[in-house]
Amino acid sequence: MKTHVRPVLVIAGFAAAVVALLIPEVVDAQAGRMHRATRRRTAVVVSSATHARDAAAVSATTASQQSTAAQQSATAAQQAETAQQQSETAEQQAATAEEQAAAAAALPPAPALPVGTVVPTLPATGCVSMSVANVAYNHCGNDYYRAVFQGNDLVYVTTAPPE
Amino acid sequence: MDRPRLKLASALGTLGVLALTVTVFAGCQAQTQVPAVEPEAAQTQVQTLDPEAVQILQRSMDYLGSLQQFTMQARNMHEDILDSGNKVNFGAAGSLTVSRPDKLRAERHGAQFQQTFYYDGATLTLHNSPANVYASDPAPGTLPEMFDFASDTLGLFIPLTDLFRPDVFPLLMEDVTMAVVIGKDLVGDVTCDHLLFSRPGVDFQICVADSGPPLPVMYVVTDTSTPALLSVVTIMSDWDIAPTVPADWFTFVPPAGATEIPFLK
Repeated sequence: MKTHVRPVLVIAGFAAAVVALLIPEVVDAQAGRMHRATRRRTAVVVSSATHARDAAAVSATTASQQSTAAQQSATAAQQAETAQQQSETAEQQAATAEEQAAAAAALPPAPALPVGTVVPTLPATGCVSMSVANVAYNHCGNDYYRAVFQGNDLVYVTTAPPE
Repeated sequence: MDRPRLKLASALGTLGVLALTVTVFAGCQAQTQVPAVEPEAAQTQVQTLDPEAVQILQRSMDYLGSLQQFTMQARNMHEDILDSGNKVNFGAAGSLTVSRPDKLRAERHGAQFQQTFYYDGATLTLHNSPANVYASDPAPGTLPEMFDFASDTLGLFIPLTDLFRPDVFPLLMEDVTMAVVIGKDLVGDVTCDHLLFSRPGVDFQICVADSGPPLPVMYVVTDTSTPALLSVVTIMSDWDIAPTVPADWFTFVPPAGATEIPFLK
């Protein structure tokens, strides 16, 4: 059975995964002519396989509707089979997203504060003092801080990682 | 260049401590609060510049200005308002050594901070002892210029510098609408002439020793621009107008393990 939907590409990032859906063939049956088109759909999955699964399910539903429109003469059984295949595809997508989300979770946390942020105190735990090129830094999580005097007050400002 | 205005409350808020006696405060408020029952008389009083009060203040400030070198201790308390609306006091203490025209060392410490300022005529350094970090910056060559540089460029308030500018008397008297001699007072073990001055947004009191050198022993600044009437009370003591000061007293030498950090400009 021909499948009209090939939602395949899933790209996972640190806290977000991007699902890219390629739909190579769309038949415009109502216009009485066929043409080829490529559509890209993007959904954002925020650090959760559940979200990826939802996105895949949404794409499957959309694809199913398009497939039905293109095959108005197809039998109900064919439609059911197509839907089943699409459902399987969606499950595969969800599984892929889960794997990528798990991989993202294993990465170190991203910087929590923009460079130049001034804070009155360092995080209570997890900070390591270090010196690079005679400049003192405090490395806390994925943030680097430099102590500075802001007026009379000793404060800490986030900086780019030392090189 | 704009004439420098005294940053009384903020500058004094950085130093010293001591509890203000209730009687002093009550006496002050009795003078500053205009009696509603006699508005005309009160208005007359508010506009009064008692020549004696002005003269005592000028004599004291001129004397301070004439000192080439001195040391003193200071303690202060500043008030703040909690979210609950209750007023509370916080204390600090410090010391000051001045050698005109171009040297100063000041210390201030409280429960949350411990800092020392060094100025040797070329460099201004601020050292934070608990964290053992310091910042240094090239500074202008005289004390008044350094005060402006510290305040305007670095955002620093060095303790008590208001009182040690060469032009302190006209600055203190600027926009003053009332000057009153409250009377004799006792601060520590020093009998002093207690003066009250008022100008828009600020009241200040000063008590000048009534015998010997006319040194100030108490300085109170009240922010009258808000209903809270927050005050900073500074008690000055242990004046030494002929101190023996080591030559290197004003030059910062980083202690072991000290880390240099920048000023955020």
